[in-house]
Amino acid sequence: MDPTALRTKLLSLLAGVAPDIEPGSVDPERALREQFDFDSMDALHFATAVSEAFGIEIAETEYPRLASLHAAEQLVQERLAARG
Amino acid sequence: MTDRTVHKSPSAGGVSHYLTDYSVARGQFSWQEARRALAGGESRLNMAHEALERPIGLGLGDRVAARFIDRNWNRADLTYAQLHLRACRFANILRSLGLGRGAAVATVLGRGPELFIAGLGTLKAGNVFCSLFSAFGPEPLQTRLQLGHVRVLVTTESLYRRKVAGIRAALPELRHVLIVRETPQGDLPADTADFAQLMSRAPETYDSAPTRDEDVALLHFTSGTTGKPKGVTLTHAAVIAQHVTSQLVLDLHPGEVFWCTADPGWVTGIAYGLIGPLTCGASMIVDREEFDPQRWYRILEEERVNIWYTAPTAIRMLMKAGTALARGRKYPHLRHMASVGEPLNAEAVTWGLEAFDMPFHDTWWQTETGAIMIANFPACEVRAGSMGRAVPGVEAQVVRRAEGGGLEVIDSDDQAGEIALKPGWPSMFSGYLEDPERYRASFLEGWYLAGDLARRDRDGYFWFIGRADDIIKSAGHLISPFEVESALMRHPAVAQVAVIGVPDPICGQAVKAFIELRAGFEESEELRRNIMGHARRLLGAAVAPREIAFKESLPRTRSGKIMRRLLRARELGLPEGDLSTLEGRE
Repeated sequence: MDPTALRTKLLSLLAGVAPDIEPGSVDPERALREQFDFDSMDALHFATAVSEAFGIEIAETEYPRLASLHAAEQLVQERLAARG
Repeated sequence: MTDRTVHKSPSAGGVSHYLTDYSVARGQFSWQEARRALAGGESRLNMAHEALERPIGLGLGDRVAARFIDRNWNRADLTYAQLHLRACRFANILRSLGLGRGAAVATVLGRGPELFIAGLGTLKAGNVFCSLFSAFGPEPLQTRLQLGHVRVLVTTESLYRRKVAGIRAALPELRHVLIVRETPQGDLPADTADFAQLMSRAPETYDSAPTRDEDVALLHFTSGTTGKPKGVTLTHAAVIAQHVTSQLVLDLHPGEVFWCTADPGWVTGIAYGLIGPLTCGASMIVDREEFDPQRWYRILEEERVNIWYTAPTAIRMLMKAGTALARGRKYPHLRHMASVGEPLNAEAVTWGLEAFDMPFHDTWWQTETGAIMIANFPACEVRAGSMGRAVPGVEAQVVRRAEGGGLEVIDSDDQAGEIALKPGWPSMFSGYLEDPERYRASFLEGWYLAGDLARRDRDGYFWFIGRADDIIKSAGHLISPFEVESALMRHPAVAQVAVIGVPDPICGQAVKAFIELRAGFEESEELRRNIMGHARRLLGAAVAPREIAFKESLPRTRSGKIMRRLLRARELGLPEGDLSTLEGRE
């Protein structure tokens, strides 16, 4: 998937869960939890939203891989590639 | 209601339990004797003294009091002796700031050594300690700092910049802000002082203030049925009950490794994340990170946790992550697991057997009770889905408020009513800050009314039914719909709002807001997000609604009061005509 489109999509999903986060202020490398008031319920809702939006399965044990924007992008790309 | 019973064999765990026979323990127990077991003399009692000097006097000075684990798995230990010296330093800081006895000191901190040091140092100095939830937004923090007349605040640099700097001007009574640095260099915000620097200069001896049983030690805020939070005060005598229940319910023996996962912003994080375990000489595990299943299992295994006190939301999230993940590690040292925060469903209790070969033991109490009041005990059978039985020394009943204003104690089994406790246990709250009327209204005919509905079975086990008021219990936090509503009302698009708790498989109840828009505003996803963002910025993620629904009009009574109960009934698909039975339905 085009990396720019993917980032835009993920930021929009993030805004659905935590609309107080300014998309422009997200440091993609740092954990969301460290940058914002983003708790474990938010993390759970974000994982569900990502899974539904891309039609990919994300196991609970993989949630830490959605900790930062960059990590989330990698996970989604990986899953989409595996699906072919 | 599921009625599954988990039986116990008397020798389970290989440790002699503090409470082996429930009836015998109840029969023999006395609070006077429990108080005599502590170090305080006839006329003085100090929480910090019982948590530090007493265990040190028993030879535990070199034992680990707390082990702090950071994100990168660095472990930092503080022994009882080290923690004591640091608490003394902090008490000296307060003295040097000219703080009078009884003035309030607050923290807005996550789980870390500074919280322990500030909390214990404050108590040692005879000041009132108030630990605030660091996930609160500026609005709830301002209300609480004002209500508590807080004079000194300890917080981190980033929390200060994000949440306090903007409200500082509205807090004239807040004289000193001590900043815990996250980076060693750089200028601190204006009008703040460096916590570490003050600590390094302060002397490390301090005689515990000669506080008395009835002197206020702790201030905890909890949500009430108005927009204003309730400032619950607990006295130094609360340490008696916190110590006793740490033994009888949590079964903490000296040297045992104990992990309480509660946030220090709530009463559990202080009563059982700080005070109680130290009075027992336990070694606490303090994880500085947020919930993460793999991390938690690793901590349980590698830290050889003996006793674990956690919350239903966390347990349900662990269940969701799967039993196999739990089974991926071994926990030979784990011998007791307990839960608090909201009722633990039977499935979660018995999932403990699948994942850890032992059940979770539910416990019940509230900020006002200051210590665990009802519990499933380690040596006794566990009734899955039940809160357990009254702690020795505690008289609990189910009551009904009579039409004429009196109170009726329900004698028959399995009848629903409100939980009532007979005053006389030492950790009972001593007041609601600046609200004596509300305090008086909590008692009726010699009973404290808890506001929780339950039934009691023939063997004395209590079964939770719901709240008697509109308070929402979400992920272990009590949330006032009124506080959320008043924040939402400040959004320009909101004309009317009603906030209720809706069932959530993970956090028990989730906060949901129903909004009537002002003329000129159209409902849209963008507006929904805008309002949600507004609420999260003001209130913090833990308190703000997770869901927003727009309504043409909200149901009202004839006098114009919005009927939350009717909204809840519609949301849950319950018959609307039978509203009397809906109160507090889970």
